[in-house]
Amino acid sequence: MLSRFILQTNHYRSSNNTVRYNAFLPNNNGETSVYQTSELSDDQVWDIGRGIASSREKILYGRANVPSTEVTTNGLQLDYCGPRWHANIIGWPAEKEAQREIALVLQDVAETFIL
Amino acid sequence: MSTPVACTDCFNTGGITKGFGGDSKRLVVIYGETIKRLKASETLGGALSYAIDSLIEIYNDCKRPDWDGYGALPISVDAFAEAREFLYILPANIPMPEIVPEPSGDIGMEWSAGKRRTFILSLSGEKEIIYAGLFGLNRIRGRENFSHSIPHNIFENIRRTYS
Repeated sequence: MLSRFILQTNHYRSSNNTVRYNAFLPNNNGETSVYQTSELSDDQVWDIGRGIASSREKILYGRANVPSTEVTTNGLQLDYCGPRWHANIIGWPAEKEAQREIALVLQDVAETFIL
Repeated sequence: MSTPVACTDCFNTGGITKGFGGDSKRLVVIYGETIKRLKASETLGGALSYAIDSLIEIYNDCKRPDWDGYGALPISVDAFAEAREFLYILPANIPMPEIVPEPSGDIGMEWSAGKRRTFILSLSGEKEIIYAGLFGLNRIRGRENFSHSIPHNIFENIRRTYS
């Protein structure tokens, strides 16, 4: 399971606490930062999220979990790098419309946890 | 002297005709401005006003680099202006979208009717609409030119979201 930490209010719908597609879109380097959290307890996952938010001077609003298989079946790859458990989703298509289509799929399968 | 020809690919101009030459172009501009004002006066305080407020708020929140903590590009003025124009010319019988900032610096718009019923589009200020949608098991994506009118294809996909 991959967790994407939500550091922006407009990355989720406050009406029903579900993540939005824009939370999964890659940054300018073509990467979406996530954590592999399958083997971690809930407390450990939130600790990581709080650490990330603190280091970036942001507020942790929640996280969205997506199965790793959903990433790879959509043609993306996981590049494990940086801190332990961290990975970047890479291999995003160059076309913006294709990126958004995949982000919509990830949004659709995601399970969202808002604090 | 040019001959006006009905625009078959534009919703925003309603019954207006489009022709060639300066006068015709000017007419379309004036008509568009009028519709904007009419719509604004009719719905101010309603859905359009809410969407415009949301757009302004998002622009102010996301006009600096790294607004999302993950290295996002700032929302550009051009994207903001194009998104505002899109909202103004969206016909009143089409639901207003949720406004969504994107890490590429684009403005996204989302129409959602639940799981696997979502249509989104992105505006970057480059006179182009990037879109994608999930409709049940069907996935769509594409791009359309955007120059003062909204292509039929976009309307069809918004309607499909709620059908």
